[in-house]
Amino acid sequence: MAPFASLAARRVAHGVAMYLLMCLAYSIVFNGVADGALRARIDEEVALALRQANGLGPSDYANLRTALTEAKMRQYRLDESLPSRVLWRTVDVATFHFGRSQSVVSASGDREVLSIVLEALPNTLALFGTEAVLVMFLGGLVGVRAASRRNGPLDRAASVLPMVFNGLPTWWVGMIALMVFSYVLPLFPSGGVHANPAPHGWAGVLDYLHHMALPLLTLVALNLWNPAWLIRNLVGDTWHSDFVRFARAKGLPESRIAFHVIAAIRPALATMVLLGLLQSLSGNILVEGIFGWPGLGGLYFSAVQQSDVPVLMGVLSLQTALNLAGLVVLDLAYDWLDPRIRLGGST
Amino acid sequence: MKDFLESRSARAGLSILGFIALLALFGPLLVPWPEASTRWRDISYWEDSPAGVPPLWTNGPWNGWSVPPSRHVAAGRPELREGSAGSLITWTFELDGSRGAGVAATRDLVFRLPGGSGRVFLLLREGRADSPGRELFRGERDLVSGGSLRLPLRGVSARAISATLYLASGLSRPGDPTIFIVGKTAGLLGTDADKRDVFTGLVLGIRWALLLGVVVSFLTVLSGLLLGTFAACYGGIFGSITNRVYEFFSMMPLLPFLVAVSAIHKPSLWSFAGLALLFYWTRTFKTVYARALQIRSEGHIEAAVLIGAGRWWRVTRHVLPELLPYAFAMMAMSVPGIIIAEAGVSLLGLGDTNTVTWGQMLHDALVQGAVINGMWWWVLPPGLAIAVMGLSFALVGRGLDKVVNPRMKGY
Repeated sequence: MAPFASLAARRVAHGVAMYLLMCLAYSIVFNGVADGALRARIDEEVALALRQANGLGPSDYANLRTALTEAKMRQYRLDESLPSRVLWRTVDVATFHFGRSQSVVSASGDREVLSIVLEALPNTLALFGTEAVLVMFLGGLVGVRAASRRNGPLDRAASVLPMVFNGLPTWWVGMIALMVFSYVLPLFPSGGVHANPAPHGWAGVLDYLHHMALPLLTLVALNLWNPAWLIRNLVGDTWHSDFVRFARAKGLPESRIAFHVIAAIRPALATMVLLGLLQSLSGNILVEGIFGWPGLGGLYFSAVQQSDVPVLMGVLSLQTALNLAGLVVLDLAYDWLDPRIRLGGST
Repeated sequence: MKDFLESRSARAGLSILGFIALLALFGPLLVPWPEASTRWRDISYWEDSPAGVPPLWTNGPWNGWSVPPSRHVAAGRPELREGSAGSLITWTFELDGSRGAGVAATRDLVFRLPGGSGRVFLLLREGRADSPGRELFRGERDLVSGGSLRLPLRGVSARAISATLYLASGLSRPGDPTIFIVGKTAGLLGTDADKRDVFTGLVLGIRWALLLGVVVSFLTVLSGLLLGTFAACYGGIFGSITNRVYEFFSMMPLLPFLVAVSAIHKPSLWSFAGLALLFYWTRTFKTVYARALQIRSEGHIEAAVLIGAGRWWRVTRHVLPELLPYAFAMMAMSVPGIIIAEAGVSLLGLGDTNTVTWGQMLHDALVQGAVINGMWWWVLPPGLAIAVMGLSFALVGRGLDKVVNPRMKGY
């Protein structure tokens, strides 16, 4: 257990270092825009304070304005040098102190970026988590079937469709799906997570599912084919390998052989499932934007549209943190799943 | 090479690609709006067309020919009457040339008089010259030399129109006028909300998609190939630095950088290409790295070491040539992803506004409510074009893959 613990500690440390590095990169890239946004906000606040101060002469007025602006600059730490601004912004972003948004507002009318971002996260998890599970399940079914009936109709579909769908922008299919199933045939709502007003209890859950159905179906129908093709090849390869032939020669029943095959491809399957789930954490900017799904991606979409930098930084840093944490977990999970890759052992 | 050309998918992919390349080269010469590539965003270039109408071929017996096509009507033979003070020229336009045109009881017309100069007197009436009806326009107009006079006429119900021009002596005679009927359908693929011809945009978009996809995928795969090979074969500090940089860029999303760059500079195709290059080399790097590590320790390389081959020789004469076929397959397969990425960036409104790309057509469609209003002729073609181009590259890629991965042949 000791080597595993030290390995885990090393992986976590590496993940944290990576996270800090990426936050630094975000704060360098967005430095100019973020400074501009802060300056605009200072101007706004100073103007507000000046409006409240009545009965001043012109020179007093100008003095008050410079004094106020300087105080605000100090308060928001804009008077510091460029490297120190980048550094404190990195620390703020890395510790989830995103500050207040410029224009995006949370459902409860809050402007705290952290609460806006945390409000969006469950929606992304619901949509893309369900999608990942369904894609893996259906992809596995299709893949195994295609492998068992080589050159059958399903096998041909499984070999052609990934090529077709890889060249299709998912968001474009979403536009078509919306046009057909939401506007021409009003079967599904055109956006959001709830009808207005939102129903309570089980009706609320059904309403949520109804809103989720169209993006979910679109995503599953398109994304199912890549895993199906991979699983088909994996299963197909393994099915013709020596140990399976040996097991068959021994007279094992097909169900036992299937068990052996699955055991052999387990690490590859686990990678696919876990990477799929991991990707689902970040959502998809364009798909959520098109479907008006208020998840992390949809939030990013509207933040780009309104160039709301604090929200952009918040979404990015949360996604990065989740992603890196997931990768660390995935790496450690290998150690348990595949006895052939003992990371903690002799490396 | 022979194996490659014999594979069905490669042949299918190459023939679609050939067709696309021909369209990219000659399409701009064949489109109905020849100046569109430079005047795509110039509203005066498109002002005559109807806004947001479906394609011409949607007019048919299934809807009782109820969506008449937009079309030009040429003037009949002019009647000339010369006087001492000047001349009178009269033209007749027969408006009902095509089936179903009479269904539109009233329609909008645009009268255009090209060329000429100086002040002329113009009279437009419903009906033929010998049996004139309601007056549509009467007045004096200044002909701008080299330009063309444009008169929009609303709600015309007659089957013919006559135009009479009084020209004072000494003025140069303008060319024959034309009438454009603003119908309820237009073009091969309809028009967008800004009256632009969707088919023309589609054809113009080919070259950017092709150029960007091919150039960026070539450069990204090439740099991934070189970095991966050298990192694997030279190792040491160079190898570990390259691996750290790889880790960083493979985790980093491309979009935020594009957002930040477009906030500072005006977004352009070249800034997209540069950033894509910076981020997408990672997609080739890891595969090449792993494969190069394998090749490095194979028998024939060890033999080369024994007979005294230097490292540079080994890399350039043994490892790289073995990886090159993989790289070609990867180049073909990475093209669709790059085209989709550009389209996605344009969809967000961060695209190059000096060019006509499919992503921008879709951006305009989304922003101007094509989805809500069911304007399928505006939304479908650009996406299908992306899909066809992606499919052709994927087919070529799979053909190459079958050759370089003989194990895949059984499938």
